[in-house]
Amino acid sequence: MGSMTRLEGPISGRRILVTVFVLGILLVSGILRPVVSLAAGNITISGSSMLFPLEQVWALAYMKKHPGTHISVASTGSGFGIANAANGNITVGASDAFLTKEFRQRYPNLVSVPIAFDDAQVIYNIPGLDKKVVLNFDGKVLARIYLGKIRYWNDRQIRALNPDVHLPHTRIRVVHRADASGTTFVFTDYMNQTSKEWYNQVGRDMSPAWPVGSGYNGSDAVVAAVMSSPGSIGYVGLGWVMEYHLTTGALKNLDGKFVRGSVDTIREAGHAALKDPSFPDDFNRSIVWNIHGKNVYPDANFEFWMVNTNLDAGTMKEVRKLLMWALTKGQASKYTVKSGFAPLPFRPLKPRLDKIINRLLPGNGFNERSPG
Amino acid sequence: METPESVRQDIPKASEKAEGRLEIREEPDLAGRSERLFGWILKGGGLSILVLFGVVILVCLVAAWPSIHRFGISFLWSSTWNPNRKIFGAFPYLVGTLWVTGIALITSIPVAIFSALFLSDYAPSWLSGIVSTLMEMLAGIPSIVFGAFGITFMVPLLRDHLEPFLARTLGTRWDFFNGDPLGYGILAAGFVVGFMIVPLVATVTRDSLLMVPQEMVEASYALGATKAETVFFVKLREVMPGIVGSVILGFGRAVGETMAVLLLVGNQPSIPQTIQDVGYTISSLLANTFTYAVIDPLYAAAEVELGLILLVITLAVNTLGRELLLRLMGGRLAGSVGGG
Amino acid sequence: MQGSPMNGISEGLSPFRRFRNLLLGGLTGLFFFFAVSPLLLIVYVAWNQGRSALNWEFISTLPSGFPLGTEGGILNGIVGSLVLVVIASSLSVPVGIWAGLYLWQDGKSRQAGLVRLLSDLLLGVPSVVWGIVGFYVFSTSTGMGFHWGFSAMAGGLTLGFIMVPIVTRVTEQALRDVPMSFIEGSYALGATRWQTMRSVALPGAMAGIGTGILLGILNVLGQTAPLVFTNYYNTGLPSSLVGSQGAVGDLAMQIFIYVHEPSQLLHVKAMAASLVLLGIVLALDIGIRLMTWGSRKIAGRVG
Repeated sequence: MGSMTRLEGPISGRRILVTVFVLGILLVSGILRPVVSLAAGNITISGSSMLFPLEQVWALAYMKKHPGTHISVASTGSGFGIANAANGNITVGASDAFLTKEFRQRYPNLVSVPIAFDDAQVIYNIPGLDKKVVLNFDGKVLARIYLGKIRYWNDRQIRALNPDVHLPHTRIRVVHRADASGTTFVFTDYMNQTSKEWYNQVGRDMSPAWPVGSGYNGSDAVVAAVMSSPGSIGYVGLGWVMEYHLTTGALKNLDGKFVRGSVDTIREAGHAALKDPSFPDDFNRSIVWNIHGKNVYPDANFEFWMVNTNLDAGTMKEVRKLLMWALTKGQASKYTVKSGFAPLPFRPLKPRLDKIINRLLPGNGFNERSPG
Repeated sequence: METPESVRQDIPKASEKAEGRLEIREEPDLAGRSERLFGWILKGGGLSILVLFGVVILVCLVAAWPSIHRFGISFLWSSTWNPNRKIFGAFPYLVGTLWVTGIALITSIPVAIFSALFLSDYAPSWLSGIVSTLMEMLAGIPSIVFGAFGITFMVPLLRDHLEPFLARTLGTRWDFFNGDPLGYGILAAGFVVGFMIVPLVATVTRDSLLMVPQEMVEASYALGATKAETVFFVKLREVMPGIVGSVILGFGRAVGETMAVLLLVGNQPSIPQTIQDVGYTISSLLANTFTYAVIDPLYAAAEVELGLILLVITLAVNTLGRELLLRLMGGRLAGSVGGG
Repeated sequence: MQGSPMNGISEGLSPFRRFRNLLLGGLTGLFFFFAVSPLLLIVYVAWNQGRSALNWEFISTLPSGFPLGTEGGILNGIVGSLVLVVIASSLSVPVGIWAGLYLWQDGKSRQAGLVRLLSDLLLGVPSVVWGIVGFYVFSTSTGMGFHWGFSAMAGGLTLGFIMVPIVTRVTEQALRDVPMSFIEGSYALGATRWQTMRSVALPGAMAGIGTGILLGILNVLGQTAPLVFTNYYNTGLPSSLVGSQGAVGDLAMQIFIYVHEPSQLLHVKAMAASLVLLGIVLALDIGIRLMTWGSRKIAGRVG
């Protein structure tokens, strides 16, 4: 037995280990203690990278006004947002894509709350082309580019739409999203409705089978890839276009006009769609292409926050507070317009929004006075 | 097992006799019982590994079952991956994974083996100690740091210099080198993964080189061989299983590498035609879309089946590599964790 | 291959063999340079690009500004990584040591051989597969798993799974390094297996086990892929460890998120965060080295 005790003496490993462990636990609990009392509410919003710029601005503003709450936003792709809000893995899922019938049937507990307008825009990086030159695209040409059938920038079909622009003989590098993305959904929606080829070969989807190009994870990476690869074409939301001052193309709308995406033209699209009496009360319908109006941007969309009705009561209270703030004060143009989003027309939408909020927390209808 | 049984049978007799003796006789019994209990408790530790392994296999099998059932073995060579139409095939991802892994191995293996020889035989001992430590430390660089390096350094380098250079020189003769120099692609991913596995392959190879008996080296010198001849023709041949083992371990690590590859590979499920092309690996597909795929059971199952294929490849490869290295080194095996 | 024995004296070497000798020797040095230079370049690039953002404020504040992260620091990542590592260790250290003790005790039995094989195979399981397993077991609602959402517990325990085989293997090795004479001496004195293990084997192997734990932490710290499936990321500090709001930040994840942004400023921050991560890894590595050095010294003295 003597030898055993003697052995314990010189070996300091155990002591080091115990010390490290105790220190680690102390450190964590020391850091967590003030935090637990500080951050009463913690809301994780994950999903749409199109909505990410606005969410960042909102989160900063909201946290300043509500010091007890922390809003964590992440740009993970709308597919992530929908799937994981539906499964209750995150608090709020952000999505640019509405809930299709399939989704609504599979996840009856998922409520989509519209919170702003945005769009999918074509961005490109053509060496030698003046940054001020706006290229025109229509669905057919765009689809042929994304199908790999138009391979050079000076292709006849592109020149036909842009007679006054001198385009270089540069290879087109197609850039698309690799994750399941609502931006992709909106973008392919446009091609799906305007090009037979696209409709037959690929279709509208959040993660379609891209025939050509290279894929990147998130709008941020798409922007980075387009900015760094000469000859590339990609698509992102207006928020990203404004944040990085990107060159965007104009898209042909239903009236045959070429319109660039801007806060005004997407607002025009949204308002025109809402005027249609058959527009569903839960906003789950595409507002791409099929809308008349000279100034209508043909590839706009509603931005949604997906909330699971099964969230526990405490969290739901926080979420509802955030939703009401976002739908009222959050719509101020210093948040929305400045970061490239069109605000929702609140008054005409109030009855419909009331209904949606009611689904989230039965008995607690939307109350305009209470947000704070 | 028999001894404790007999001891236990002894006890009742003992207890009948006298109280004083009872205590003395009972001690071996308690010890025997606790000894057995202790053995069982220890077995639980082994069981926990079995359970963990079982959980991994079971989760993958159960989650992948709809896809296995639906597509069968043709999943492996079907090249359509269309979530919209619910058709799934693994072929482009398998090919992309093999391309990236292949480029990684080609870049890393000669370099790693030669540096292992340098460390074990050529470097002066003071230097060898220092640079071996350095190499081992560099092996600890997290793979996301490699990814960050790849995107800020390798992609521009490849796009502006190396890939156009390849197209200008080799590309004039072989179409294989005459692709679109995008920067992103299998080459960027392969290079970065190659850098990543160099320290692993080099240290394992060095360890096996150190196992060569000194007598054999001396015999070679005695026969008049030069140093290079001894090192390259005697030692290297002697430790060939170890080198193959280390390369296999490197393959196992490269094949599962995820985040660095995702950032660099270009994520397009096409079969690369040129060295500058983009591709898609199994692991980067899973990291990109798995958390969305769960909305549809078949879509999720197809993705998990890809994960299962990756798992089977790494398990097979690691079993093989482990056998080779164990035979050589007996017991001490440098392990590697599937990349992050 | 060993050359003709007649050329035993080096002066008698043919020019070809002399040249080959020099060439191959030189090549090993050159290739060693090729092997190490990209790795050193990585450290240099991180240092060169990230140095400017590195200061105390960077380590001690939460990310802020627009785009998020351009101002402020990486406190969320550091705290989150710490939380994840503590959770991972609290699963893997007991289980790993337990399994390591079993492997040591049962030694050469066939069962132990199987366990050893499986434990080694678990070492090589790709991290995306761990992610899938963690997602189904801990995160999402499958009807059987835990349904903790994207949370620190889910992420931490998945990382714990990854750590178990590392701790197991190193524990076994450390126990084997305890001189057999100590163990036999203990048995000879009448100690039970439990007493021997508690008072002789474990204390003797403590430094080695500590090394294993640090090695496991080192491996787990750089893991990003499993967290994509189980925890993702949080820009703030955690208020709970489970549930839909339970996600924590993570250094590796933060680097991943920053580095694929187009903003140059965020690239600088990503590189600075890489430097912090490299610093932590280096510290752990030195810790491991000190521990193994310590245990070798002791082993050398007593054995």
